[in-house]
Amino acid sequence: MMIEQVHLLPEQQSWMTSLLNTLPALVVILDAKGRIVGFNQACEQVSGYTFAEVKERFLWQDLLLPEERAGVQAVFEQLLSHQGPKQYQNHWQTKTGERHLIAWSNSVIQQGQAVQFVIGTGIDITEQQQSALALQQQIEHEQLLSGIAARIRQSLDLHTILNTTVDEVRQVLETDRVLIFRLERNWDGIVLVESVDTDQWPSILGVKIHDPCFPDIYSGAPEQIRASAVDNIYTANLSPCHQELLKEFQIQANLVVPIILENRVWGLLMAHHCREPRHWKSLEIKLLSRLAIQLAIAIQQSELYCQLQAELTEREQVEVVLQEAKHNLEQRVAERTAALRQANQQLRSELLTRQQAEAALQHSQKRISGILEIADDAIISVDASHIITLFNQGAEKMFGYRRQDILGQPLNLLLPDDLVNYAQTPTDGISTTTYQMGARRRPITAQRRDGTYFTAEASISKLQLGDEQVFTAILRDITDRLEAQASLTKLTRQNELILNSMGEGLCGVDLQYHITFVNPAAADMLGYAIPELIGQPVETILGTNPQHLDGDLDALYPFEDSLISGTIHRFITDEFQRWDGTMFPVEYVSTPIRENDIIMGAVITFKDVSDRQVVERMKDEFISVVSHELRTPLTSIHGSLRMLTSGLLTAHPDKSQRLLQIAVDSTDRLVRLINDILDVERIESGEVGMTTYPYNIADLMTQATNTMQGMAAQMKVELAVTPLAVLTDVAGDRIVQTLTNLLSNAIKFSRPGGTVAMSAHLMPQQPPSCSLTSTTTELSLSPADAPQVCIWVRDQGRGIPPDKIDTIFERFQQADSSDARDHEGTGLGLAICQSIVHQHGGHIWVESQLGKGSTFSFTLPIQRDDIANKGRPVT
Amino acid sequence: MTAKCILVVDNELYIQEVVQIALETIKNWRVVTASSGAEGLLKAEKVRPDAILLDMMMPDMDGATTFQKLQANPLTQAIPVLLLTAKIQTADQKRYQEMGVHSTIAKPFDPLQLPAQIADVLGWQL
Repeated sequence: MMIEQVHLLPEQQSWMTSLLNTLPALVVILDAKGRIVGFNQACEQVSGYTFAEVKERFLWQDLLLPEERAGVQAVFEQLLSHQGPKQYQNHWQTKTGERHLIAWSNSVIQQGQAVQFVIGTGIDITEQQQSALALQQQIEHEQLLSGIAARIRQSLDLHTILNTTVDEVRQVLETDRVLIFRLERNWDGIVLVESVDTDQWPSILGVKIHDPCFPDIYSGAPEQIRASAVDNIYTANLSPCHQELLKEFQIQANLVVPIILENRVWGLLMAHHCREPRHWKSLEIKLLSRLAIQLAIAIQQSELYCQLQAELTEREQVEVVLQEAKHNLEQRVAERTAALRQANQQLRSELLTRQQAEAALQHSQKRISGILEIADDAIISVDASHIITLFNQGAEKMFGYRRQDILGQPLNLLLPDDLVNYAQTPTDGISTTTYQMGARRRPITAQRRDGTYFTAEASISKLQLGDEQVFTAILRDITDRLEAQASLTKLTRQNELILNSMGEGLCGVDLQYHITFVNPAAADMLGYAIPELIGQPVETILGTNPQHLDGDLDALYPFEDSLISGTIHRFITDEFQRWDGTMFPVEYVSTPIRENDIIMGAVITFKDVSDRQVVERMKDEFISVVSHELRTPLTSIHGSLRMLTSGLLTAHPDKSQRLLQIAVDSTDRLVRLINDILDVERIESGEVGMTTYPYNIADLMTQATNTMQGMAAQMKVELAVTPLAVLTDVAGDRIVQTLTNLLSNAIKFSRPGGTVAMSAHLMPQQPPSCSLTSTTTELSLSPADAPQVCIWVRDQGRGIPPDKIDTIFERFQQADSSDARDHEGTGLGLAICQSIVHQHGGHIWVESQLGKGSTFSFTLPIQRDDIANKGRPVT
Repeated sequence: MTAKCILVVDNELYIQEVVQIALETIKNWRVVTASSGAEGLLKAEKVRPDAILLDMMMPDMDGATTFQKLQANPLTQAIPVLLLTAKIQTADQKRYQEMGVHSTIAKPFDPLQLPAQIADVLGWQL
């Protein structure tokens, strides 16, 4: 060390340098700028630098740690201004990079007020500091151990102990993750508790780990199992799979200590350093080993505690069961005691009741004796040998015996020989069966003292008095009742016969509007079986629209008025409903049913007036048609004659002539009409004799054609007639009448320009199997049938509606009977035709298609066996 | 009074003629005839008669339908209609009243009284 800048004599400088070099302390002298001007041997030994290497260089250029330079410069500046600290510590960084902690004592050399030099005298306290740190760590470890040991002694909460342990170990070791790993029997394991800074490192709590190395490491004797400390997993000689496992959890240094319990490895206490490799100090390894022992104690304690707890719980459960059993026993004892008390009380009560009953029985017996005496029914008791032991006043009256005469006599004295068995059987029967008074009564035949028989209704009861059996029969003479029932049955049968034979429907209704009875006629009309209607609401058969009475809108059905006010309503016209929902017109009478002046229901007597309505409608239509057909020619006749007789037309001979013609024509029309009306009646009744003569059908067809030719021309209709030459016996005029009627109809219904055809052909005598309900007819012929001629008239008119075909041949029927009738006529023409044809033994029918026309055909049997009858058409 | 024009609608030609001769001879009224409802509608619209004598029972279109069509036509609805009918049962009479015709003249009628009957019903001064 050189102190050249210090103004000393040379020998003083030499002496000072030697002195400073001999000092064990470090002495460094800085000038006022902080440059090193003095640097003794102790400084060189500690720093590794020679004085020559650091001379004139600033102290903080080489020797100070970068992070401490600013602080040392600040202290230096303070020393220059006489304010700096006398004591100070900082690190020197040696030439080889080591750190030494130096404790400095500072002083200054000044000239006047100005500081010329700063002298720092220091002692290297690095080892002291390390010892203190180690001591501090040891103290901390001891504190940690003692704390955990204390917790183990104080607490049995293993989970808390383990969690606190890993937290505190992580804090003390200043490492990244500390955990306790539980090893299973199969050497797999699970992380049981963990302390980790989850902001920086992943948590592996609850993770199951399988390490194939575990059995090799931990299956040996416990005393041979050591702690494993890995400072750097990459440089340690680890198996690849073990290294991969540690890398997976980002571990760089790993310290593992076994937790041994009962001579086996229970688990592992692990410390993971993740941020960088770490050298695990022996102190730390020792700490974890000692902690593992403490944890083993805690775990054992906990397991013992759990076992104890389980035993305690089991004991408590046993106690509860015992307690319950005891409680049940006490309860049963209490119940039994209560039951015994109740039984005792009941016995007392029964005893009292029996005493009361005996008293009441004695009283009752007296009363019964009185009742027996005044009862109208015969009451007879017999013993087991059927000897009469009791015979009341009613029995005396009924049988004609006096009590003293009959007591002790056998019961069959009162019963005829053929009913002795009956007397034997019930008593023998009831020897083993208990009958009660008032049980099912049965009719028996009994015999009076005078020998006459009568029917009685009997009920028998048996009474067992110790060894003695008493049978008591109560008999009631039902002769009058049977006679009344017979009369009633007879009357009922008569009424039924009357009701059943009635043509009118009869329906009874109760106050709840339910049907109580119906007669067969009503059921037939309504389409139900009688039982189906009984009990049904009367609305089942009534129409949905009740006819209001006398305009009273509040009234409903007339039968209701009968029920409410007792009024009889006659000739009510309404509609009733059949079972299938269809309605039919009825006329009915509603009559109340009274019992003792109280209305109990109503009877509705009704009849189906459908046929009558049809007849009335037909009559109306007939009157309408006939009145029109009569009045029309009458109007012309009357009008013409009135005008002619008024004298107003004397100056108009042409008009007079025309009116005369109108009167004559209309008279003819009127005569025809009246003849038609009379004809049909006479032909039907057989008054018109159908005297037959041989006629050629061709002649008759031609005659009819000639008659109708004028009408056809007037209507602009062409007649196309093909006569057939065939001889037969007929009433010629009537056949012509038939043909002209058919032609007249055909012409009337033809359009102008149309054609009416008439022709005939031969055919076997077989009525056509035509259905008059269809518009087509197919003939079914047998060659064996006798021949007949079929004549037909065909038009091209509008045809006949299918629903009219059925009735077209009936009297007063027309296809159109409305005001829009298309033709004159009474609707008798076809009825006359049918009568004439039937009188001849023929048949008449029609085939029609709407819009296309109709064909009227009729057959006549050929009466003459004439060789010439070959049906030659006449040209 | 001026000569009236009467339309007679009836399918019976003889009745047409009797009515025509009576009205022309007695009152010198002009008579137009129609043999069907359809022809009557056409002639009523064309001739605009003072009154119409209408038969009830006619082919194709009956008197009631013809009357409804006359009423439905603004050109003919004001023309008074008298029914000339042989159907004079009570039910028929009720139906005619409901239809709204002016009057009903029953067949057979007296042709000598016919003009007076028509005038009386329609309030014409003869």
